Amino acid sequence: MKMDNSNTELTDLYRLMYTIRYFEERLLELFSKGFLNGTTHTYIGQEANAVGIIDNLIPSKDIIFSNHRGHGHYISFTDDIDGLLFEIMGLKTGICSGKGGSQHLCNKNFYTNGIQGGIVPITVGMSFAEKVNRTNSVSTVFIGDGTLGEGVVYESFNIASLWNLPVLFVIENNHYAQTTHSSLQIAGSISARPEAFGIDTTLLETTNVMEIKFESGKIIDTIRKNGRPHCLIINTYRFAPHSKGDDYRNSSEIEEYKKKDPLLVFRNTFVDIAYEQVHYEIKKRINESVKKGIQQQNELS
Amino acid sequence: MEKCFKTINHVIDMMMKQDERIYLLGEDILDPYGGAFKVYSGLSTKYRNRVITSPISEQALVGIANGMAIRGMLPILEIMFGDFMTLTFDQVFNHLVKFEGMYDSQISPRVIIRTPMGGYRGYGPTHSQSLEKFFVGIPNLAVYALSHLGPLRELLISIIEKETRPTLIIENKTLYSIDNDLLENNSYNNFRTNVHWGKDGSYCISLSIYEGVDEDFTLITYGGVVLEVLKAVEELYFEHELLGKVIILTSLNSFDYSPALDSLKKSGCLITVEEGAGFFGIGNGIVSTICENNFNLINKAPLVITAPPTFIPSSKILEKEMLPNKERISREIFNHLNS
Repeated sequence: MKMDNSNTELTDLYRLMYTIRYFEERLLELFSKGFLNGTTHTYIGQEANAVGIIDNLIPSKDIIFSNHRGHGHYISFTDDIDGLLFEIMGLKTGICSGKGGSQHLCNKNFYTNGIQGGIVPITVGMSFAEKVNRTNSVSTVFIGDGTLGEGVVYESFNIASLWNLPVLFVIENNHYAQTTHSSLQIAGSISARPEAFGIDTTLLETTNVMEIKFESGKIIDTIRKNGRPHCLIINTYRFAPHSKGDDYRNSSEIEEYKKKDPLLVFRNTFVDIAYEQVHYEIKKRINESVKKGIQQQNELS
Repeated sequence: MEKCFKTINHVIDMMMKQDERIYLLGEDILDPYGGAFKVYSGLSTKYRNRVITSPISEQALVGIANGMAIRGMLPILEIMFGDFMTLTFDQVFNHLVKFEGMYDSQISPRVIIRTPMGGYRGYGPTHSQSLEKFFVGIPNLAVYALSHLGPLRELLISIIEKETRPTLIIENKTLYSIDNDLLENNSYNNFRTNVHWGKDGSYCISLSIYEGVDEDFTLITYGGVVLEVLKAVEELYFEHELLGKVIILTSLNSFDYSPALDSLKKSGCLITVEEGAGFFGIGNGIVSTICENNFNLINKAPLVITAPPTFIPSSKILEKEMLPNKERISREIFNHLNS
């Protein structure tokens, strides 16, 4: 497989993945220590999906609508640690002044909301406006396997295909909707669903960020060229609970998937990068943001 | 005078000509049908790409309108029957009206949803309802109820041009084919009328058969049931010499109370009439608000007249008995004033 890495610094892709990983791990730690309240849904284990796909998007014109598990997409699209962290901490310096929190983010062309499925027709509507305005942009919506239970997803597939809209539907199938395995949620085939509406569908089963970047790049180029919707299904796995404390999965299953950790896969493929230095810099950056955030919280109380 | 559905059609036509951001969405809205009540008649022919017919997907339809609005368009969305608004609830409540607030005003999407409520036509339990009470309580949603009386044209223009919040316009099936009476000479049938524009961009109409003495009751109402209300108020006056001042609202959740309060200073007797099912309905909200803020004006227990809190039967006779009609409205007010 030809790897086109002439346009993107390899290290940058790893940096983004590690930034997401360390950020989410620190979030869970902050929650357990009582620095954060509310809930959050971490992206640990799925980093390659966001980083690989979003590397092909142009933040100044493309649009993303993500879901409750949206931090990885947010960081990949904006690289904005402070805005996200302070938002989750409920601070006025957060991207929505603390009003939205973890699940309700907005930053220019990036949006998230916490109702499963509801974000899908909104993305279709946005792509309609973009098509009329001839921005040549792609509107991407990220959903999960659990979201496939919501009828409005299928209403949206139907209309996006019928009206020829430049939408990328990404289904991150991590096999669990909260604590329920997809065998108790999904009948039939996942890929047959968008295909039934005449939507070209690609199925990926990899944690290799380069492969995801390459395949999704082709799809995104195609959407820009022919304006038709496309569905990308990525079989993936999260290493952390749905939110916090709600993980009843077999630990041996989790360990098995951890062998294919996207960060591990990358490090084993590209051995000549100074990972310790990369990790150190990223940890420093995020730790400093955490310190700033806690300081702001203390100033308020 | 022109029929109400034509007025709505002409205003939308005019606004679409002026504002390219306006797109029409709905089911069955293309010519030659032009929508189930013909409100969009002629518009798909005139504005080809801006009139979009949709599959039967109310939830997606509102979601799509939300997305269009976020990216700068002004969608006017027709939900064919008000009864189908139940399918839109999540998109309206958990998405459309929340974006501005929870995103800290980074976006301010505006969608106008229009839908006809109302019965009296034998369409049965799921095609005859008045469900506005479930939407009036939604924060950041402007809810208007069109009347066949008064400056309908100006109201619609004001909503489309000036309203900044997501908007629900409650229309009425019966009123579509009734003339929009502009109340020239400040009169309508036996009534003297007065139009009062509130600061919020809606108007209310006060109607009174005789203005020489203080009224016995103040009746607040809106929409299609006004037809039955006015007949009842005439009967009460001409047969029982009971004088009522009727106040017709066009905004259901942010109207100017002053005409109603002025009347209550004289009558002390507050009555509301709505076509919707009772129990925690619009009238209850109006009565509660007025009592909380102007209790000194109330001399008698308020009377809230509604349809009973159950389904609307299909049979013509049963439906007529159930929905507020002239006879029942008149009787209930008469009994109330004589109790």
